[in-house]
Amino acid sequence: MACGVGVCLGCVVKTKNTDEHSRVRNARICTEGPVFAASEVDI
Amino acid sequence: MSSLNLTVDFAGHTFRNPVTVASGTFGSGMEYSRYTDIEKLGAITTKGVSDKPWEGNPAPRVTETPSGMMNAIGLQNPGIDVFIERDLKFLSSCDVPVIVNVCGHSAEEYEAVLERLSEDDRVSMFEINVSCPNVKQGAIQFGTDPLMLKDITERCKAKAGKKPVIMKLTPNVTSIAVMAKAAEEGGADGLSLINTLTAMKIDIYRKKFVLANKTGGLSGPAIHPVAVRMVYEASHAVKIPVIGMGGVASYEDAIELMMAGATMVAVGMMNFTDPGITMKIIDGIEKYMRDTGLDDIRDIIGIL
Ligand SMILES: Cc1cc2nc3c(=O)[nH]c(=O)nc-3n(C[C@H](O)[C@H](O)[C@H](O)COP(=O)(O)O)c2cc1C
Ligand code: FES
Repeated sequence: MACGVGVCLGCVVKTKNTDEHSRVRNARICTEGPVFAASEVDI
Repeated sequence: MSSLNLTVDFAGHTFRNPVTVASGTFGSGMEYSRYTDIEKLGAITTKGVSDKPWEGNPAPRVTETPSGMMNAIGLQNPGIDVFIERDLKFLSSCDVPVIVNVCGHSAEEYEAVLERLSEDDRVSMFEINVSCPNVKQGAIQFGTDPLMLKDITERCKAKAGKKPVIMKLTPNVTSIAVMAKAAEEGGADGLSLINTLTAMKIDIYRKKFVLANKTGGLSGPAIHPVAVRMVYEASHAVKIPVIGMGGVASYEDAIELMMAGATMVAVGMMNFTDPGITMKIIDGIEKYMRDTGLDDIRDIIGIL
């Protein structure tokens, strides 16, 4: 994790659906996470 | 006490101070506006935006290195539509000039973004990223071949309307002076440098590359002396103004880049270490001016 506040996009995890903020299939762990529903992420 | 002048002129615009942020290290200011007074910045330079949303590279994308970090984000961004609706809308509610950083895989993709923003009052200038080491296609090729750089500069200028076009150069070249001249010949109104240095890190126990992309761009204080050298060489090769960046961590670093030839200075990775660093740097520049009897910051630009 580099910035920890949602600007660097260094911390992302692949998501099943398009993420509301990033508009691609990546969510920021520092901001949208760190806890995700297992069904929402690809790990 | 005499009043200090911190304003600088860059490509026809006057900025209230020479300090901006490096693209990709500040988003569009939304997040950092919670921690710092973004309206005190000379300008905000936004994260690279392309005509369509880009997914970027697989994770892991970042790793820490001595006095710096490596990243291979791969220019993930939501695309120009969302940028205009959300990011520019936010920025138009703030009293701060905006420099929009543009990325693309092809000349057509850069042009598509510029066409959307060329008449937009909220945008002061464009910064064209032809130097991202983390995107395989396009991008860095435009920035490492002087003929391609001149060509892409001409094409961007043709679509930018009246707005100044700044070409952002990569340090991953043999001669930065040659690239600076190529951009100037293509009609660039300014240059910005340096982007990150291509680097690699290996996990010796896992026997694997640390970054999924294998290579990443090195940034932070580790690259600052390289930035000083390149800003010096580039600014002395051309007449157009330069935004200097690379590892700026203090007002001393900012002044150093200005003495080397930069008219403005961008703070990048160090925003991650200290979200208030830009304010400290602006205050520090004022202190330096008072301490050394310098009334006008413009008097130190390129004095060496
Ligand atoms: C996480 C991260 C993301 C970046 N994203 C971009 C980008 O989208 N466009 C760009 O032109 N440069 C990008 N850069 C490069 C910076 O703007 C800057 O040129 C470089 O990091 C050197 O400055 P610094 O050492 O102060 O960080 C990025 C750098 C980092 C660390
Ligand atoms: S750590 Fe920077 S976006 Fe999450």
